[in-house]
Amino acid sequence: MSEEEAQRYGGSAGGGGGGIGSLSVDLLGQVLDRVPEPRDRKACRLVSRAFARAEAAHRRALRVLRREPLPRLLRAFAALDRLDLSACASLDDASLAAALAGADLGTVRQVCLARASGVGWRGLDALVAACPRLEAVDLSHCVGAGDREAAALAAAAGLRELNLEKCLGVTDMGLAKVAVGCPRLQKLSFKWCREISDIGVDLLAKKCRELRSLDISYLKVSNESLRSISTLEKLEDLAMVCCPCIDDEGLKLLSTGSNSLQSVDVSRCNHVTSEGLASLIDGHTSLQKISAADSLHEIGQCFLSKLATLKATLTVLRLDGFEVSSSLLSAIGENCINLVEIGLSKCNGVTDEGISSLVVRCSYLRTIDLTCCNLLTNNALESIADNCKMLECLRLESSTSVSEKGLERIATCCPNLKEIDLTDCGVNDAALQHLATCSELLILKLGLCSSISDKGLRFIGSNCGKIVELDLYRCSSITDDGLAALADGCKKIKLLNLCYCNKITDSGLSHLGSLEELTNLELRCLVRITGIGISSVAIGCKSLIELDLKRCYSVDDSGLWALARYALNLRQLTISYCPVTGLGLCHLLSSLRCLQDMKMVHLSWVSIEGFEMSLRAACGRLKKLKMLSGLKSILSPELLQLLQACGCRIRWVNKPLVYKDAI
Amino acid sequence: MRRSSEISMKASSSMASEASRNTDPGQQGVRYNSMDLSYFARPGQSIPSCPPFFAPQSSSFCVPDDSGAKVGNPFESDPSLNTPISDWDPQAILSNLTFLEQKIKQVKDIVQSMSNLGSPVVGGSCELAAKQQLVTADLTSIIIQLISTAGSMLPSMKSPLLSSNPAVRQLNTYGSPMGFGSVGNQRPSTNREVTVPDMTKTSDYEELMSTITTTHDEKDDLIKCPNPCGGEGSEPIPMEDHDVKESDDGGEAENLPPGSYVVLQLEKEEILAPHTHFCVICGKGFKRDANLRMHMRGHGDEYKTPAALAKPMRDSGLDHTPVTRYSCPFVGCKRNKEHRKFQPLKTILCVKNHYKRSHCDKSYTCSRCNTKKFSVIADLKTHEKHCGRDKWLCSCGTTFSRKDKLFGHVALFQGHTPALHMDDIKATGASEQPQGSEAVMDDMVGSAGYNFPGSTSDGIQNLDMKVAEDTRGYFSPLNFDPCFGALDDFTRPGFDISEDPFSFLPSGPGSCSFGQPSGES
Repeated sequence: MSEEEAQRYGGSAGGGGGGIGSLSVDLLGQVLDRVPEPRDRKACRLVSRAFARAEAAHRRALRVLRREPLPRLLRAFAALDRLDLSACASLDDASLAAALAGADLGTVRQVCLARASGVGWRGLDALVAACPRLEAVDLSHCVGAGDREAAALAAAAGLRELNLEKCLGVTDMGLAKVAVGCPRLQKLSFKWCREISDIGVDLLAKKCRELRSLDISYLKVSNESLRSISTLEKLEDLAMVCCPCIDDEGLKLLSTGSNSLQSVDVSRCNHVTSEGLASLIDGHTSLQKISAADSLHEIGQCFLSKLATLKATLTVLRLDGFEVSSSLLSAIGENCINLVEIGLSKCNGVTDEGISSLVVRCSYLRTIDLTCCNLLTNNALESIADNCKMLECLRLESSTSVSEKGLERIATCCPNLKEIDLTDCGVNDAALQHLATCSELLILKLGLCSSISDKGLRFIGSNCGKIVELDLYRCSSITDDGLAALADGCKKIKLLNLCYCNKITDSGLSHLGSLEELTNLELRCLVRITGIGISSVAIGCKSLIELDLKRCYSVDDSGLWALARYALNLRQLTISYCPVTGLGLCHLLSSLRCLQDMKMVHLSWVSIEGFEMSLRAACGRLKKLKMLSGLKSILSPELLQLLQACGCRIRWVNKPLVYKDAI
Repeated sequence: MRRSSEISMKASSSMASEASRNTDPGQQGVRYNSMDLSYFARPGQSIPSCPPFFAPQSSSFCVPDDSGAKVGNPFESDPSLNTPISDWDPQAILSNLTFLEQKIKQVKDIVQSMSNLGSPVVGGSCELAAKQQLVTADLTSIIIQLISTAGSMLPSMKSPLLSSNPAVRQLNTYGSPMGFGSVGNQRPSTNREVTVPDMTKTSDYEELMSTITTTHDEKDDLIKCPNPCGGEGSEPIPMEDHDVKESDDGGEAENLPPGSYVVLQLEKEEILAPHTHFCVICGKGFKRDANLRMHMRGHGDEYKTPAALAKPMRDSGLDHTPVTRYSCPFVGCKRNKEHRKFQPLKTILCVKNHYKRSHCDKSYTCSRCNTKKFSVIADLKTHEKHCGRDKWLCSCGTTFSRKDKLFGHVALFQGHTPALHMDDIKATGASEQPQGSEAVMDDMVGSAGYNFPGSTSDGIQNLDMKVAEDTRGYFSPLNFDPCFGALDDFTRPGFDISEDPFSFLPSGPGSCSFGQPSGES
């Protein structure tokens, strides 16, 4: 059901009250289930009580952005399945516990608390107690979380998925708690939990026999862990990126184990060689994904011959950072005909012939990553276009020899193209003209292509209405007119990078104001824009979450006032080097209730009192701060302690104040 | 009584070898008695169930035959004690069998008396328990003797190397017939002249008893040492495996074939001396030879030559001593070259640490817990790093000193989980971690009683020994000319430290054969 229909139903309900209200709640719920956009659902909810009731009864997922309405929301939606508190500003133990206390969360199965650094074990205790059917918890990037938090989660015996990525305080003890408390775990990630060692992993493997997916990346574990892991019969997905103590011996242990591995990631494991991978393939003949980026030093013949045994199953092969010859690529093409994705990023020796011999057999390829393979020319693009009709993603960053001719071929032969990265490829407006025929394009990266002008953007704007992400970093030829054409045609843009496009002025930003879905906007070093332009962005781009105004030397307090007034969803803001004062900063920080991440280096117009006041105003909400290290000793210690207690991390930088006038 | 016996045991076990040399026979006898009292009057001792498996030497073990022997003497002397007999001697076998017969009869008598009396007599239940215990001990010894007798009849059981080592042979020949004679209550060889057999006997006896007691109530024993032979003056010179922290002593499982290396044995004084290099002119001591050489320059120009200052060449020495390993001077220690399963120590540092850990007072006390004691200061420092902080605790209340042990425990038991709050459960670690735990070896329960070298020094006995030690302490470490070929150290009664600070076993074949099992069943 489209937005219009929903609106119509809502409208009729508002008008007569008979039509919608007579439909059963179940039916309305069904209707709402078919409205994907939150914005549309909100419209329905607002115009009709019946819809509001239906949504209250049927809503499955809830993402809360602020702390204050949380108790009310939890009470209102009784049938919640997924609860996302990751963006909830100033959420802490007390508020979470209080909100949970009055709500019936018997149906909640998934809770996301990623980056909710204010929540500790008390809050998690309350959460686990309130949600008896909890199955998945995401606690990733809560860098302060440790064993007590893990222990609190371990009380949820039914847990199946747990993400502890970057919970830096979690040690073997916390892992053991989880392992004992949640025996039904199927998916677990403790990436970056560097305190976890072999014995923790061993206990985990003994207790959680149901594990299907495990991520031990960046851990200092050794082959002994792999020995334990190899006993997990149901394990399908194992990621061990950058585990420096793991080597071929460990992979051999895995190969003789009883896993049912389908996906393995040994990227940046420096001691893994192709022999180890070959032995791994030996033991697991149904592998589907192999990622070995930047780990193998060379690709041995044994590995290639083993690849042949995976002919039917292997779909993803990432070999970034190798010395790759044409013969090797043709061998891969021969052995892995079912490849869907191949990664050859930063591989030396990738030539046109190599790519041709690869793609001539791998016609199912959808994703080809050729980042920094700078020997490639249009010939490679032509062979890709001729063979891979289903191509969806092509990354060609730094391939300076490709031109509009090759891209024309791609654009005409691969109608499904969704993502193309042409960063630093030196393409021109003609290339964009060809690419614009790909109406399915979602992601377009044109950074550093300084020859692109408004003309090219007009092609994109006229045809690529679905674009979500557009990167125009340092495309310094584009002006306000180009932005006008873009904003006219590409209403779906969420991410837009205009850094160093220094011809852009306030009028260009006023065009951007029509992009209601824009969430991330980078305007670094646009020296001509002022508070007026910021105002139009703030007023128009209601979804704005992240804004980068670094070195926008003309943006002053008026810009901050506008942001404070309108950009209510703003979560991340960079205003380093901007000539703002303490007053503007204070007003901004006290008004924006979702703001969690501030970068404010070299705000030379802001007094110490200004910093003190504004930081105190935003104290409970801020999670990340970047400031000049000189302030560390000047700001009051109580304030800094307070910030830390609220889960805020401060990154102190020390760099000289240099005004760069762009490019 | 029990307490005093513990203490004195600790003291005496640590000073055992000194005591054997420095106490007079009369005193010795008295001590035997007191020890025996302390042992047999002790109630509630656990009952042995399985015999320990050590071989013919254990045959010297002997247990008093009836309750009357409580104040008597557990060590029956053997007429043939000092007359060496050959290994396969019909006479000996015969006497063994006769002895066994008598032994069985005695046991029968005891059991009969127990059943007859029924109701408690004088000693009440205590006595009954003691009797029960005696019966079991007797049965155990009978089994062992039977096995050893049978074993001695099998030629294949004898080590071919046995005869080449006089020390072994002597021990063995003393050992096998020793326990068999003597129904009478004579004192065992309290004559001080023959120290070695005496030691052998005593230690074997202790060994068995301690095994018996520890097999049952291991935990209790580990802590309390209710070893009957720990009594005063019992001369507990353990011949068997001393508990040694294997990993740190550097000698673990090297599997060097005996004879492929030279065994060097430093004496106690040298091991404990702070300095190992001494100036021959002024006597000043140094920790390093290089420092000594620098010092020597001050004594004259002849020491200033490059040759004198240069590092001594080792090439010549390397030729005929390919590998050097070290033996602990403590007789009975597994690291002692006379031990059946001798495991040499790799370096002098290993020797020092081993000797201090296993045979010295633990004089360094942890200032945090005031419980743990150490003889090596590095151990103390290691412990202090973790003391209190890293006590690994399970939800069931069990504490572990190491995380992997806790995790092993958690893995084993369903529902158990590591406890994060260390203050929640009362600290019970002190009782579970005996003082000597640093030296406790799991598989050698038999010697558990010897893990506590005199850490408390309040018994008169202990004082005596200290004096004795001091008198001999005049021996100067300066005097350490290596005395090659002093093999007879171990056959001489109470091998005198002051004579041979360095005693080398000759590197000929068979000299290192002590590691060979000499006839286990």
